[in-house]
Amino acid sequence: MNKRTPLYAVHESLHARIVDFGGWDMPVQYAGIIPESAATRQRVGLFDIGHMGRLEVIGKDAVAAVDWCVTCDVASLAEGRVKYGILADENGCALDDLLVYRDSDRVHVVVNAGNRDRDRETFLARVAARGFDCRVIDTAWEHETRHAETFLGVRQTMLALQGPRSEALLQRVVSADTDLSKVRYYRMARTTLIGMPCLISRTGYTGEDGFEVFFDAREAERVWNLFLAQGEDLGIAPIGLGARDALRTEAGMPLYGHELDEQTTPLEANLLFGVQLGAGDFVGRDALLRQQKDGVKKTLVGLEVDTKRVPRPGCELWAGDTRLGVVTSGTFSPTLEKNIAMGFVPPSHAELGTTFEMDIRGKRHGCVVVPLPFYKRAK
Amino acid sequence: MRPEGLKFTKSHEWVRIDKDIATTGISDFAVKQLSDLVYVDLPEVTDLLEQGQPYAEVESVKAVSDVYAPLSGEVIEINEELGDNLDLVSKDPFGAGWLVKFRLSHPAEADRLLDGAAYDAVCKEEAH
Repeated sequence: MNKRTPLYAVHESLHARIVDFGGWDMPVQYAGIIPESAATRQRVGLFDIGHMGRLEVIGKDAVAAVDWCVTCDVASLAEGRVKYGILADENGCALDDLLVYRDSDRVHVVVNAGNRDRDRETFLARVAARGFDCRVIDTAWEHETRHAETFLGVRQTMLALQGPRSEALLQRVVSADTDLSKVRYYRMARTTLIGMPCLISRTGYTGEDGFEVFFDAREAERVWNLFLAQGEDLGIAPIGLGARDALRTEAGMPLYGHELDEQTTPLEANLLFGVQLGAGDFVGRDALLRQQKDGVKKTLVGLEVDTKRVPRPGCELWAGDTRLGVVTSGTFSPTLEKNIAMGFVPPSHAELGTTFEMDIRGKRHGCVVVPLPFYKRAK
Repeated sequence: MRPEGLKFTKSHEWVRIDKDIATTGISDFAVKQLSDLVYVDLPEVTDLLEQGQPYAEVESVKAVSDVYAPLSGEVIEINEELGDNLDLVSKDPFGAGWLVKFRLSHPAEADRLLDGAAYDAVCKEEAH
């Protein structure tokens, strides 16, 4: 039996098409991927991301513990800041990618739905092994009994608003003393939403401006409907995982299980901005330092292909008889109206403008290495 | 409403047979299931179709789907309009959104196709 977010019934009533995603029944689309992508890029999209995992790390050693567990520098992360990092294993390979929130008295960690349980166990094991004085609480887990210790004090869920009108919409519903123009990119804030406490961050997974909002799971339906009603004149639309995947691919953002996995390091996936090798020690650091010195064997590149047939994950990349690697994400880009793909190739073939071939379901087509991201919003 | 006189496959293709010439495409149900069509990869004139075998690909943003030949025969015309106007498939799948015309090589294969009522039942089943 798949898991469901508190909004499952709402998605059904909106006639969303439901698919399995990492063990969750999630809406893949409502009106369609193309109109939903446009709504997000041009106006504002509402996303149910209640399937994402959320950990709260509380206690004296919370910052030091998270700093040890993940690749990014948490120790020097200022209060109110959010940072992207990797949960690496001893080999520097990715168990997950995540966001770390440096709150005033605790640290929040947001992880992928499909890795939630493993991530929680990994954090717990590392905290125990090093004897850190802190508690790791899974705020979205049905078996968690310590919700009272968390910031919200209850089991929580999460929605995202993404798109140029996100700030205008969110400002209408948060407490008047929160000025969202001061909550800049990758910052978080505590505020209230229709009178109840919530956590917001200016983050997202679309390449657009936008916010992610954490709040009491029991209020999910009320908050969802509030956003839809308050955002009507702004052109709000509910957005499914289909458009979310197209949008993040356009923005060149990795998806765990595609660009990142247990055989891939953040150096190979060009995610060095989420790894601070010069800061404190963390699990996987030695391996990553070694890899940095020795060089990577594969590297992630952006690709455009010389056909209207759409590149998909799994398409192989070839130079004559040499298999270079494989496409990890590929789609028709609704925003750019052309085919885009990301994939791994040896560094020898990673230079911009390098040409080779992509095998799309048994037929080879020319492709060329292009810069990432494919799409960058105008600031 | 679907036009009269069409035959269907379980894999959601339709075919209109006029003596030894057949016109085929994908059904309204298939269009709705695929959604967000972005490209149709068609065969070439003189290519041979074999009943039940894929002969074309329909690409949507999310996925690619094979299109299967409802009957066997030789392609005599492809719908060139679709190159610039794929909306024809979404908006008029049984009319202007046809994919190929072909000359039947084994007309008796038509006995294996579904009539409108049987196809309705297939769609109803899959919608659940």
